[in-house]
Amino acid sequence: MKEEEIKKYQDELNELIDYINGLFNFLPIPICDLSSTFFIIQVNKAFENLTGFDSLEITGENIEKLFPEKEKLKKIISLLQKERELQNQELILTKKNGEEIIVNTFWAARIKKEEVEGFLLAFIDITLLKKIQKEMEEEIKLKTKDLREKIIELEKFQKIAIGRELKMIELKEEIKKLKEELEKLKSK
Amino acid sequence: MEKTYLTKEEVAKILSIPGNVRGTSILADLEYLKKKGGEEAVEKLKERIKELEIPIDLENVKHANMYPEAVSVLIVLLIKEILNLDEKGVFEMGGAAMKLSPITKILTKFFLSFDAVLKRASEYWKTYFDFGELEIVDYDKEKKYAIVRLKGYKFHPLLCVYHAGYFYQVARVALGSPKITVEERKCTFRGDPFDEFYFSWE
Repeated sequence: MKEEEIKKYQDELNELIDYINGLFNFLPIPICDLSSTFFIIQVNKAFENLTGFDSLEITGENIEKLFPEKEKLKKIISLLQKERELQNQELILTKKNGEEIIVNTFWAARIKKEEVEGFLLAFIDITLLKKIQKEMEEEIKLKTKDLREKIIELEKFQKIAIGRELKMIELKEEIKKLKEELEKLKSK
Repeated sequence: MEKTYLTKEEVAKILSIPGNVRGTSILADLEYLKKKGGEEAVEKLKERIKELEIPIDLENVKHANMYPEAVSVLIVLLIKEILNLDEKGVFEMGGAAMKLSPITKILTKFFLSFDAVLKRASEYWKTYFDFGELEIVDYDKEKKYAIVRLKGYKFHPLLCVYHAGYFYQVARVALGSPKITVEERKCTFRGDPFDEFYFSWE
C-alpha cells in the first residue's frame, strides 16, 4: 500500500474513532460494551455519572459486579445467548457507594460472521418511576379501602333509609285504613 | 521509594532505538495520567517533554497514526516520575492502557476466548507496532498456563512490567477469570534473547 493511501486510511480511522468517542460520551443513557465473556470493555460518561464508577476501575470487571441478583442475571444471559437481543429487563444495580437502584436494561449481541463478538448493554434508571408507581399503588390501595368503607356506610344508610321509607308507607297505609274505618263508623 | 528523574542522556539513548507504535498507546497513557493526577499532572508532563526535548506534540497525537515507540516509552517513564509510581503502579498503568485505548475496544473481537487471543496475539501486536514479534510458545488449557514470548523489543526494563500489566488485563478479560498470575521469566535486560511471560490461572 502506498504511503499516501495509508495516511488517508489513518486519517479516516482517526475521524471515525473521534466520532464514535464523541457520540458514545454524548449519549445521556448509560451504555457499556461487554466482551463475549461478559467483562466490561468500555463505558460512557453517562455510565460513570450514574454508577459512580470511573471507567478505569470498572473496565475489566465482570458484569456481576454491577448486578447483585445473580440468578436473575444468569437467566437474562442465557436468554440473550438464544435471542441475541433483549429489552426491558428489570434489574437491581449496585452503585459504587453501595446504593441500590432499579434499572431497565436493554441488551444486544454484536455478531460477526455468525459468531458473537460481545454484547452491548444500555440501561435506564427507573428507581424514581418505581417509587412513584409504588406510592401511587399505595395511594390507590388506600383510596379503594376508603371507598369501600364509604360504600358500606352508604349501604347501611340506604338500608336504614329504605327501612324508614317502608315504615312510612306502612304507616300511611295504616292511617288510610283507619280513616276509612272512621268514615264507615261515622256513616253508621 | 526514592524518586528518580529521567536525564537527557537516558532520553537520547532511548530515542536512538527504532520502531513505531500507534498513537492510541500514547493517548491511553495520557488518559491514565489525567485520571490519576488531573490536568496539573498533564501540564507537568508537557513541561518535562519540553525540558528533555522529546519530539512529540501531545496536543496533536492521533489514535491511528504511528509514532516512535521510544517516545511512547519515555512518556511511560515520565508518568512514572510524575505520579511517583512503584512497579505495582507501572503494572497498573499497563493494564489501564488496555482499558483506555479506543482501538483496543474496537479490537474486542480478539477477546472471544483465551484461545482466540493466543491464536491472534501476533496479529494483535502488529496492529499496534511496526517492529518486534509476539508469539505463543506454549499453551496448556488443561494445566492452565501459557507462555508468551516478545522478541525484538528492548527499550527499558520498566516496560517489561508495563507489558506484564497489559497482558494480565487482556488475559483477565479473555479468560473471564480474576485469578491470574503473570510472571516475566526471561528478560532481554537480564541477558536473555527475548522477554518471556508465564501466565497461569485458576
